[in-house]
Amino acid sequence: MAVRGLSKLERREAIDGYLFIMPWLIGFVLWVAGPMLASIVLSFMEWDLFSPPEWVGAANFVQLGKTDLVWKSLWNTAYYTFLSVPLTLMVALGTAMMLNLPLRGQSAFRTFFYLPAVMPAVANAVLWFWILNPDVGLANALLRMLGLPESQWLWSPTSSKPTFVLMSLWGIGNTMVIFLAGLQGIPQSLYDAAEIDGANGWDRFRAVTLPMLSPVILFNMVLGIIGSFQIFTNAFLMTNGGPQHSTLFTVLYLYRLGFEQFKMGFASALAWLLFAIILVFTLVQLRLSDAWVYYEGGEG
Amino acid sequence: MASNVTSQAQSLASSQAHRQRRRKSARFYIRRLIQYAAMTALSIVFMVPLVWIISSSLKTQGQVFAYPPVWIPDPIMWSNYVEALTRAPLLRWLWNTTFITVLAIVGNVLSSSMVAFGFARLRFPGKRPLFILLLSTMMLPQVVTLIPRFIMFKWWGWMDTPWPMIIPTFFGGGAFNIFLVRQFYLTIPKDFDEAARIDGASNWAIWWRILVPLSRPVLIAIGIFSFVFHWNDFMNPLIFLFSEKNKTLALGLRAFINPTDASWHISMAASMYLVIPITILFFVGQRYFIRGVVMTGIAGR
Amino acid sequence: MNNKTKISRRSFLGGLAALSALPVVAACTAPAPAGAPAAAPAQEVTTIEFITPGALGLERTMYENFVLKFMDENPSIKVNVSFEAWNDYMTKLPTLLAGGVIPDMIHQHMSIVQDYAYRGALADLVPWMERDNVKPEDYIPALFDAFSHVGKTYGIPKDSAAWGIYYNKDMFDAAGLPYPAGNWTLEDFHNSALALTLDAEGRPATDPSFDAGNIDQWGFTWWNEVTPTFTESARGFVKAFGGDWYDEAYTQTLITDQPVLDHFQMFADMRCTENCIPTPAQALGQGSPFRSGLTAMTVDFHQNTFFSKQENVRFQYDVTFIPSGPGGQYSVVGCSGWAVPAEAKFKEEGWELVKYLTSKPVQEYIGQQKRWGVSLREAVGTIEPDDGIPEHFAMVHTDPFKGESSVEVISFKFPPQQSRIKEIYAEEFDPIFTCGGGDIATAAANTKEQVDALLSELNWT
Repeated sequence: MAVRGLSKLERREAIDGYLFIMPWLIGFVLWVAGPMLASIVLSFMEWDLFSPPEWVGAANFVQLGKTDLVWKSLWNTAYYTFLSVPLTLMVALGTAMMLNLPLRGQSAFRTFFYLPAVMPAVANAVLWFWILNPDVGLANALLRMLGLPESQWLWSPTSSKPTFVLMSLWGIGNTMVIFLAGLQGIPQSLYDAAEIDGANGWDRFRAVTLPMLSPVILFNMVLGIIGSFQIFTNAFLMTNGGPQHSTLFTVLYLYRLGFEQFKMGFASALAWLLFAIILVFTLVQLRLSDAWVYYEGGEG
Repeated sequence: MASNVTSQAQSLASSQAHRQRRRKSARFYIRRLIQYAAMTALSIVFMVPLVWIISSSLKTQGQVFAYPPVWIPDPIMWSNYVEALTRAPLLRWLWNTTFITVLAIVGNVLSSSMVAFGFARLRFPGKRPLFILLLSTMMLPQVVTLIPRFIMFKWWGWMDTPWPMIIPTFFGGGAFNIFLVRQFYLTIPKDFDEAARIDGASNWAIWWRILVPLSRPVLIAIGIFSFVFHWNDFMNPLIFLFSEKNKTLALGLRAFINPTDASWHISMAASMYLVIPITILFFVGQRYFIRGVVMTGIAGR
Repeated sequence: MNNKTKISRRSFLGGLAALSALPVVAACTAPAPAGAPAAAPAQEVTTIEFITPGALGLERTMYENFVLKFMDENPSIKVNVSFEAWNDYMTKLPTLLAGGVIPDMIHQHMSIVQDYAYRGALADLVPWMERDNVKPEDYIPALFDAFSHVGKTYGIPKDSAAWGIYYNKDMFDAAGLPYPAGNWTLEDFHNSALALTLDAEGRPATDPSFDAGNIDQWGFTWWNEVTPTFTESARGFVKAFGGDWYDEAYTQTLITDQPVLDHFQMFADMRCTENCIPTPAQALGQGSPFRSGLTAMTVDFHQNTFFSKQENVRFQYDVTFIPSGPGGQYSVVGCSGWAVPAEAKFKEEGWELVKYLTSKPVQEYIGQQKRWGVSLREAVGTIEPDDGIPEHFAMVHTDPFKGESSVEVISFKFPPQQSRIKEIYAEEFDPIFTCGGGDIATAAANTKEQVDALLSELNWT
């Protein structure tokens, strides 16, 4: 739709629209677009950071396909993302619903549940090492108590990724807070009406909570996918990709390629591949969201 | 308009209280008991990290990894907190961090609520592609833009200053915040806007007088998130700051962790200087945050 | 690769800057580059940038004071020092060098120095060393091996770390074992580790009814892998077995030689079938297993003495050499060094600071803290403990450098592409050293093939 084809009223709305998003547009042009463009250019170059770069055309992208660790890292990342995002969403929503009950001491409970998400990463890593030690750690002690088989946790290629998923459940703070804000925004009158209609708890959850919360669920899902695809810190601090590259996630591999192996061009190419993957998943989610997200304030 | 909303909120709050009084049967108490038990059990699980860090921060050096684990240190080493202070210019770093954080919160909250209004309420050509572009800025891993950003801010002459962490927050406040506020704006019925528009209000008035007050909870959430982000961020300060006197707390504290050093008790004490302000802020902030939400909740209908 | 176009570094950086600041360049008719040099000051004072990782507290204060003293002695040089945490330094240094903000003096660990030198990031110090009479013989000469390549030297060692085996005397006493002699053998070492591994019932690992699922005390811990990727100390063992990691010219790896395979086999057996070394998982989150009294022996350098005292360990301990074997006996020493970036603006002034920080008064002061090692031979004695504990501290940590020992001092030159080599070893050897199975000879052959290909691609001459 061209501006020319708009009515006077529509044109005024469009101008306001551009004015409202102008701060972001200016910021994007000044500080975001440049570095992104630079990294695109770099992805067509060979650059070891210290000597002059060389233009190599699409060679880096061809090399991506031939490098086993690229695919391994993408597989690890996808595995983590598709296990962690649904679990995180469910646990965060469940916790948020509990925190939404009219109980005394909710302020304290909310703080407790939120805090693990903001612990300094290094302190967290040391703590997890200590919990996950298979002989003397709390995790296996708990399994032993429950009569379940013990695990090697981080140090076996089969259990290392699930262990990262498990650790991600402690960091649900932000997701939970956003859900909580969404839950508080659902008018009580809707629940009352449903109750009068004889709906039980599950019905009310399905008929009221889920649709009213759907914009927030969409947000947490999109951000969850974007964030999980870029998992880095814990893997960097705790396993550095091991054992047997089972926790070599893509951004960790990128860091290694760029800052340890000095292949910044190749790293940039991989980063843009990851970008494309995340973009596709986001677009699919947004497209599908038309079918299940309910906007009280009309479509955006 | 706003006072109307408030009075609705009050009447709703009182009807809620009424409903609760009505319900207090034996079954109600049993359910509450189960709920408290579940919450307490979960709290214990979630509190392990904090308790461990507090406990370690009060131990002697050899006690941190003692087996079997010691939860209550003996003796209790309050001096670790003093030691952490003397090893580093923590107060100076605290001030730098506060300066960046406070300004960044203002920037994030103001500009994200404004930009989100454009994306949530106004129609203009190219909106969807621009929105996708906005989201896409979150999708490129920072690792590969680090050096270009470094070169760019060098060009701006902002090396060793807090400006790379602050000024951009006033220009949009980041895709995460804009997207979040947009989602909340979209849950607010358009009836309010329409009514105001008929009264002759401009889009700016609708944003500032109606949507901003109604979305106070999510703006407070953004405030909390940006506090936590800037408070804990070390990657940007690492790249853009050089001198000891300009460093931030999160960046500076990382130097307590040295692969060959073993003073975990001190580094845990130092970590608490990061954690305590966040805890207090969240504890206080979430009250307003919830109270505000109740108001949004009854908007419309 | 004929279609590669060379672009000069300057124009490239300029291009990146322009691209990153695209709109502003377009808007301004004459963009004034920020930080343009001001008019020459009346008094000729050169300001240099010095960047190093450093622990908070004593280490930073110490270096800040050295820098003040240096500026006193060299009034024409002003030094800006910035400290980073270890991990952060590895991100910040490449960013600075790539971004054209080149420090004039930097810290380089021996494991990365050849990587940087290979890419032309570091200045060769030999001309200055010759001019100013800085001789490797005055330092621990082996350390210069790690920092040099074909006649060029890219860093002056700033400290030293001589590896030895620390042992818990109380545990040896309880097991009725004699303390390890200085010239003990790999076999003695292996047998001690077995006898000192005890299950919950106090049975040693040599007992047929030993319960491997319930171990209370380990014979030996190593906080790194025994491959040539993490630590120079592993070379002490592999040389004792009679092998080595690389040939002299670094054209190939030697890990398929029988002595090296024996080395791998011994450590894999000790961990996976004989249970006298904990797996990496079992060693997690324990702090130092040796100092917390979980393990009878460990490989460490003098820092273990410092930390043992700081943590008030509740047992008697001592230290001895890495055991001898068919290949002899070696004292392995590692270090970090000071280097001058090739593109630094004030290389001469950077070099002055390098010389100052490796001079006798500075090195002696560092040594007296008993915390960090020193590289200057004249000063190595200063790190010896005043209380004479542990008894054989000097034998292991300082005597070999004074020329008062028959044990040969070696170091290890980590070749470039360390990070890629690590990846190859991780792929092939992780299953073996995490006890997931796998055959050592096959893993070694696969690793050799890939690493040799990498070396020939490097063409490191």
